[in-house]
Amino acid sequence: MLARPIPTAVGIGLRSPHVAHVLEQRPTVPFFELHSENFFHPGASWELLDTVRCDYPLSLHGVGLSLGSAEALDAGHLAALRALVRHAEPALVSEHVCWGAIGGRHYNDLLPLPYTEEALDAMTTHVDRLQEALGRRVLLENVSSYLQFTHSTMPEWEFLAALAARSGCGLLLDVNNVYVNSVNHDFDAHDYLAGIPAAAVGELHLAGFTRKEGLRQDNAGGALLIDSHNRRVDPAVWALYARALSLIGARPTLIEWDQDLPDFAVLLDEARLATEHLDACAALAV
Amino acid sequence: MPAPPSLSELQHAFAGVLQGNEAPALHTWIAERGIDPAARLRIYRHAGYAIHVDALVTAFPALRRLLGEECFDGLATRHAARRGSYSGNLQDYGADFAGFLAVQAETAAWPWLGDVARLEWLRQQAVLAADAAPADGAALLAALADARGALRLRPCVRVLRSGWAVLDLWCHALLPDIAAPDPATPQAVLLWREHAQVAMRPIAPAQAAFVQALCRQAALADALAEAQSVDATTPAEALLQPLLEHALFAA
Repeated sequence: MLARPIPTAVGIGLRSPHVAHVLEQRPTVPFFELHSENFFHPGASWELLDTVRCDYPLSLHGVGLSLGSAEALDAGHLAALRALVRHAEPALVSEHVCWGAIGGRHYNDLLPLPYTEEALDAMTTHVDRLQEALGRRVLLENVSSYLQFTHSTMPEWEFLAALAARSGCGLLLDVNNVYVNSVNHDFDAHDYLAGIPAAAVGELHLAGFTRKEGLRQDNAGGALLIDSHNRRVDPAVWALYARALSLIGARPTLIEWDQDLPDFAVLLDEARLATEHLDACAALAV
Repeated sequence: MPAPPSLSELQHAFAGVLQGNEAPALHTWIAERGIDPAARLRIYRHAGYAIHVDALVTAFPALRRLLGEECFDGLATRHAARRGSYSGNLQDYGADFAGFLAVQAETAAWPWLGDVARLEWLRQQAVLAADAAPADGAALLAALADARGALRLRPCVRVLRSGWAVLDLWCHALLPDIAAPDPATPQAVLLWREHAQVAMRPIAPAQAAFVQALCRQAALADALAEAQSVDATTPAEALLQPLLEHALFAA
């Protein structure tokens, strides 16, 4: 079966509590994103995978490869991803600009990198290996972070742009993560967007965040934002999404919701709101 | 000012924090902006624990009911800090949880909990195992005629022999209408996957020994001998019966 291309429209991250509803109702959704690791074992999960990909274009989004690790990639993890991609033939394959494993132990989280030449070299080497193993271009996503390293030598957006230029990978720009980091690390999110090479961006992500109060020692009053994926997209992120569309152009966009999942109808409504933004962008482009 | 850490040094120090250690040298390289670097690192430590606790909650629902949520979550957090994960796929996390429980003081009064954990991990394995079509009648007859050949089971087949009423304890934990069993009744359980769901049934000890041998790809004659060493009175057709009934031989 040939991969069905991802349209420039708004898809939804399909999580297990919604699977039965989707299989029964077959809602009109332009594409679904699945987490790659949930399909690494070719057991019962591949039946679901095959059912979904028969009816919907598919994006596979990995969370565990640890591309920013100072050590070699986990060969078993890479082999499992390769087998999955060969089987599923998804239209998009993506991973994250982060690390999550060192010394043979995995932390199963999206941990922050220092934005240094050394980290850029490590990421580039690993992305090269990934793209070679899969025989295709992948998209790399910016992550939310709750700390910044003082020995970073470039801003995050410059790191992403350099990674795309050196490895030839595409970028998955998570607009929520840009906003979260702009608040947490006190930079202008518009500078971030302006620094991203538009041609490299293959997909956009939207999600909700939560505010963690009481951490600041300086009584500045600001909260730290946590990328919780457990609520609707914040108005400030919708505004930044509109800005991203105007700078980068219309791109396939995904609604992510991973915790405290609401009825599927809520995700459809979030997708409707994002579609209004995409349509407005298209109208301006005419 | 010391030289900044290499990427490897930074990640090993960060990893130590995630395991519950302190890394004051790392604080120098974390921007404060009004928040103590240690507090920033704790966000990651707690998030990491929560990720791993959630994975164990998903894989061990009956165990959590039997232990109580607070006790289970505490043990799961300790496991996350001390043992941790060795795979980038959280579906693989928890393989050693039963062994970990066996040496924790909180569980000493309930020695059957380890086998409930083993049963739940076998359920996870049955879900994730590769698929294989059931053997047809002709192929099966040919295989049964070769005593030195190995009968191949579908990859989802698992078996647990326990000194405790492990299946009844599991059912009691998750199904409110099932009465509490006498834990000290030994039980063997056959597990497999059917229509994407895990199926389980109790089987006799000799049947369990037979299935265990076939899972190791022992020759048919050797599997029969192992079953007879457990109970010489069980006829061969009784050993085969649950596997035939549920079409668990692979093509």
